Parts: sequence; C-alpha cells; structure tokens
Amino acid sequence: MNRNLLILGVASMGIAVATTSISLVAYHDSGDIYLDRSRPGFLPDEDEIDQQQGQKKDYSFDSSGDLNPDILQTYLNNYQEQLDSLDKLEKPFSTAPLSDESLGITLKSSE
Amino acid sequence: MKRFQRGLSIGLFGLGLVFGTHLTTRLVSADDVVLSDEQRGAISTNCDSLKSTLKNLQRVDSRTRSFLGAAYDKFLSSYISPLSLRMVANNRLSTSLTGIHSGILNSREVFVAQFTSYSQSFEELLQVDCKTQPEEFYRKLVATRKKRTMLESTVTSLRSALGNHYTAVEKFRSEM
Repeated sequence: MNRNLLILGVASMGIAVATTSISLVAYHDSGDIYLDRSRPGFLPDEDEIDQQQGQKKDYSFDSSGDLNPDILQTYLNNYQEQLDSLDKLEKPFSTAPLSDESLGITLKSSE
Repeated sequence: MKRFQRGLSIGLFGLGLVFGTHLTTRLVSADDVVLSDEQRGAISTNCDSLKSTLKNLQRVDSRTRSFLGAAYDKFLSSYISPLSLRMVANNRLSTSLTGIHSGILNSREVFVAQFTSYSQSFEELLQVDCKTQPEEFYRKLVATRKKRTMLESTVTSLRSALGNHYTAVEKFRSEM
C-alpha cells in the first residue's frame, strides 16, 4: 500500500516536472518571453502606468451608422491626437544606442 | 539508367549548391568582424559597464515595444477597422484605404516577429562573456544591430502607413 503511494507521488512529481519543462520551453521558443512584461526587471514603471492612464482611451469609432463629412472630421481629429501621442516617442529603436560610439568601443585614432 | 544518373547528378549538384551557399554564408559572416587590439581591449576592460548599459537599453526597448504595440492596437481596433466596417455597411468602398489597412495589419505582425527576433539576439549578446570573448561579443553585437535596424525600419514604415491612412480618409471625405 505504502509502496503504491510512493510510486503515485513520484509519478505525479515526474509528470509535473515534465509538463512544466515543456511549457517553459514552449514559452521561450515561441518568443512570448520577450513580449511578457511581467518578468522580473521588465515590470512597467510607475510613471509608465501614469502615462498609459493619461492616454486618450475613451474615443472609439463606431462600426455602424451613417458616414458623412462631419463624422469623418471628428474621426480625423481624434485620429490626429492619437498620431501626436505616438510621435511623442522620439526615434523608437534608433540604431544610435547600439553604435560603437555610444558603447565606448570606437577605435581611437592613433594619429 | 541514364535517367537515373542524370537525376543523381542534378541531386548532387543541388546538394552541393545548398552546402556551398551555407558554407560561404558562414565564412563571410565569420569574417565580418575584425577587431583591432584597441577595440578588443576596450570591450574587455569596459565589459561590466557595457553589460549594464545594454541591460538598461533592453528595459527601455521592452517599454518602447509595449507603448508602440498598445498604440498600434488602438489605431486598428478603435479607428481603422471600425471605419472599414462602416464603409462596407454604407456601400462606400475605397481600394486605397483597404490597401493601407491590410498593409498596417501585415506590418504589425512583422513588428512583433522582428521584435522577438531582435530580443532573442539581444539575450544571446548579454550571455556572451565580453571579458574573455570580445570577438564573439562584437559579432553578436553586429548581428543585434542589424536586427535593430530592421525593426526601426518597420516602425518607420508603420508610422508612414498610419499617416497615409489619415491622408486617404481626408481625401475620401473631401470627395463625398
């Protein structure tokens, strides 16, 4: 009886370890790990949360209804605000921070 | 028999071509990086500071990706997609707007895939010990840089497509 319980316990742990390992490999290999911001060191900063809360979230164009110049003008005004918010981010993924100069590994001229 | 021999030769030629291309690519990429003693020294000496700078950049990149991803989703779910549906419902089709819409959808997917690939490359870069392997570190740095350039280009083209959508809607409105 005790032996069967021991086998059951060991087998359960083995299955748990195997399935967890498979999940972690899939999580890593699918690339989801790089999009996940709940990882330690990647959690959103407080000012970032404030920034997100301050964003224009209320407007959403209705997919049904009439289509006239006035409605489209309202759409364009809101759309432009959203574009302005996007443009606040200066040169996203610019190559400069990874350049030799920025990292301090530039070849110094010997002349 | 002759047919078999011809098939075999074509097969071997194809295999040789694939293997040769692969080998050439490897050789070229291995030769890509030539460091001077000074650069090698700079990498080894400033290894800790380099790693710290890169880790900070990784955090900033993650934040940027999150901001851009949320913004693109907002554009698509609150503006572009509902407008497309409304245009269809009102029997007012615009091929230019449809084209821009599908272009944005595709670029959004490319953006996520490129960010994932860039992040993988960045992670590999951080794992290299720059004190003892400066050449390997620099090789990975060059590869990561290339992926960042591609990512930057996609972000730029997405911004341009979002701007094009605005112009196309403006034109559509003026023609009503």
